[in-house]
Amino acid sequence: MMFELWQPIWLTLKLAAVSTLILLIIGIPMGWWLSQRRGWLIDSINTLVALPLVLPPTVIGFYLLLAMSPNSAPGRWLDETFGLVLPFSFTGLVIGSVIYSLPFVVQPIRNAFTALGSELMETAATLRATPLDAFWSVALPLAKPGVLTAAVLGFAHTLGEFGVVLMIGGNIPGETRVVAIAIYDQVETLQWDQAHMLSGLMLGFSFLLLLTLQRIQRSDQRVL
Amino acid sequence: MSGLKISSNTHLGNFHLDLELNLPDSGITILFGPSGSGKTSLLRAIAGLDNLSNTQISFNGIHWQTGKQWQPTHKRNLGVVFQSPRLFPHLSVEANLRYGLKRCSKPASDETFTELTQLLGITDLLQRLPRKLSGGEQQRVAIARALLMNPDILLMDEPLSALDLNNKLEILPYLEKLHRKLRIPVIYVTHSLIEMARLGDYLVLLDKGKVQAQGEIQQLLTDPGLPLASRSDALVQHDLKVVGGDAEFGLCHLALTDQIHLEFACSESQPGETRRVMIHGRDITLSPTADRALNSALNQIPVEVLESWSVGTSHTHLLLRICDSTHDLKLIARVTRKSATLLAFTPGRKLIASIKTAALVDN
Repeated sequence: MMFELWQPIWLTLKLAAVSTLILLIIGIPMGWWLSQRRGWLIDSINTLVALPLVLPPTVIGFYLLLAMSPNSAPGRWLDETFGLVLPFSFTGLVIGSVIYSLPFVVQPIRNAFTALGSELMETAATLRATPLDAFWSVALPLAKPGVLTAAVLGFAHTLGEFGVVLMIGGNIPGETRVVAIAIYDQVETLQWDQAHMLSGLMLGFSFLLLLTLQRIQRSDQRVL
Repeated sequence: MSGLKISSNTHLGNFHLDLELNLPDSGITILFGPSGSGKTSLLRAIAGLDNLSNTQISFNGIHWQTGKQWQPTHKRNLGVVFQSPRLFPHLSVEANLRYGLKRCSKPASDETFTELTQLLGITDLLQRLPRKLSGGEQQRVAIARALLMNPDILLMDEPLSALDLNNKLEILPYLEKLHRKLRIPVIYVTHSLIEMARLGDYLVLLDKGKVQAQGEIQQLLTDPGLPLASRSDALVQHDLKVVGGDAEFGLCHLALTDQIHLEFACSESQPGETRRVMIHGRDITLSPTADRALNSALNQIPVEVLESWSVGTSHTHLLLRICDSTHDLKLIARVTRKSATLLAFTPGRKLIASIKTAALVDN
């Protein structure tokens, strides 16, 4: 009974943590790149990144499922080369979460870098810093509040994921049965006590996360 | 091959930058001109912050930009002070100062660090964050930060223009002190005549991307063919030797020529020192004869009118040569056109110039 409750919680946290880590690894260079350039290509990429904000998660899930399916070209390639079958697997969920939460991570990071402007980077160059050195020593430390915001939002948003998981992950205990799915399942099967417990936990935890976000943004105002 | 050489022929926004410059390898060179004359663009190109097409820049024989070859800013051995201080807000003053120090090839010694922070009056600020500093203090930190890398050239882009008057007055003496200590050339962009005359040695007058004139500032300030001599705040700049003082009245005596000494109010000066004096045209009155008893101006010197020309409808400017001067010292006087006409201040006329006041650059 307790195990049944803890397993989805543990899985959800693992999914959110792994996804957030990957999101930051992708989002920081991507946010920087998008903040430094202008033009049609950049506008298009920004729009593409923002799409998960407006699309129903089922639409994203549907396309991801098609792409991952062993019957499709990319799915077959993954299967034949790496033996990876992504639908209904944890790895598939991670990929789905990363795409689904991308705007929540890329946008705050990009905005933080944009707000920084070019002046301090120019100044760093006049002080002998190479562009990479200036990025690590000036841009990234100054964008820290934006990166933290991105991490919290990415984590929180992945926790609350339901539609995409349902489409590409299904409901496999220990593999794809995250809290949101477990609650749905419990309600369907009239296990109200468990649904109460998990829902209450999600509510409290999400509140704490968003409260943390508020504190980060307030300290951001103090610094700059 | 010493000094900074620039040649450029390129379109820049709404004007054409077309110039050939060969700047001195010491002293402060002023790039002077109205906004939109191309002075800041030129400075940014020298710094490597903008890549202008069809432009060649070399410094002390090192090519910074030739045709396709381009050295990025961080590889040019220069220091830059911008309009705003641009301190890194997440680093303390000391960490800001050490940022360039850690990354340059010939960092200043600890001794120089102490000396320079003392000279710029920022020793007590080292542990603070930039936002706790006044604008003037921040700009002094920015100047120290650039100089601590021991750059071969210092570029300053209107370093005082973003400061209010009080901060400006506070920072000028520091720049003047530096002027005498620095052995490297400084390129200083400004549109302030006072900053140019107080700090500068060599002048490049820019107008719409072209060099209108260049040369020693003393020469250009007294050239009737240039707009400087016709400004209502026209002035001259002379570096004069201190020959004595009058402690009782707080004056020091400066040798204009061997025979003619001027007396001006100043903080204590040692005989033998050189002080820069600036005399505004509006602070000179002219009369046909000397009359010490009836004139409160301490300094009355014999001059000869070289040229006179009208400025607007109401004023006349006169180019004056100081009589008996061996080095051809000149003054510009600004008088009303009426008195110039009534008293017949025509070229060749010998007069007495009374200098009411002069600005002495602080030590």
